[in-house]
Amino acid sequence: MKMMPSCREISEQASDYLDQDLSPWQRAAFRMHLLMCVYCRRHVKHLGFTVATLGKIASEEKARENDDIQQIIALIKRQQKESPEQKGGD
Amino acid sequence: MNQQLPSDNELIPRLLAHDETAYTQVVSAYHGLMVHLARAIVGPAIADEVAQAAWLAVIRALPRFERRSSLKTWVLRIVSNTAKTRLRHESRTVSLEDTQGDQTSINAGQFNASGRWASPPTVWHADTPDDLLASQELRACIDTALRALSPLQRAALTLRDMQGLDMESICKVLEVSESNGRVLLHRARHRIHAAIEEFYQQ
Ligand SMILES: [Zn+2]
Repeated sequence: MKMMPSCREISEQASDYLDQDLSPWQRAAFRMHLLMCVYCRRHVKHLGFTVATLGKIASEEKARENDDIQQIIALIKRQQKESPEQKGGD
Repeated sequence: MNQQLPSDNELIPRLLAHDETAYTQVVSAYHGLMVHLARAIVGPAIADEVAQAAWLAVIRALPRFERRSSLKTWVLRIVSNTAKTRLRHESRTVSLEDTQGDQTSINAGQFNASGRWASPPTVWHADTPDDLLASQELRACIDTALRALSPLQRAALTLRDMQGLDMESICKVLEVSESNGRVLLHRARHRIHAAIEEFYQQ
């Protein structure tokens, strides 16, 4: 049976922990370590915070895309006219 | 903007028949995501151009699409490949991969020989992402750290944490193994985390 993971191992597994990708056993050992180690608790919390912040940055960026879409549709139509042999729908 | 997109089964025949409504739905649903992915790999200057080129490649290849993945994953893989090819042309010296050492070396200095914290993590003076992003300086640090990632790390991080794709799709899109995908994401997250940590240490 493997001993409790070290702080270093916690740091290495933290990303998978946040994505719920550890095995049940690894997850249990991970949480056990967190219960006893204030530094790792802080570290894992901060990593989760980092991920949430990236999501926040992305949601702020989502505004500008609308006129691009019309431009792409026009581009696609032009391409389809130029190569009618690819017309599907059989 | 994201109205309900019809299923692939419904969409693909309509796309092949050049149905404009179907194209508008697909472009509305995927174009933003495509630009974000292109930007992660080739940078902002030519991301729009790469996304456009990818659409043309999508139109050309669609009759041969074998549907071993979802349309979305397939389209994003075309973006990824278009962007990678473009990057190789632009600068032969740039590596897609991480050149800054392996996974474990990222945090090596933070731990002592027995694997405990050598110096404890700094306390961050922020309780929400909004608090954190309120500081222009910190935001600039995060942007710098994002730019310093390798193209594939940035792509994995963008797709997972900024666009919310699942890991299996991301690995198909980037054409990396499941374990490599995880390593890319792990390293990228730790580098951004380290940039914020450094900011609070000052
Ligand atoms: Zn610990």
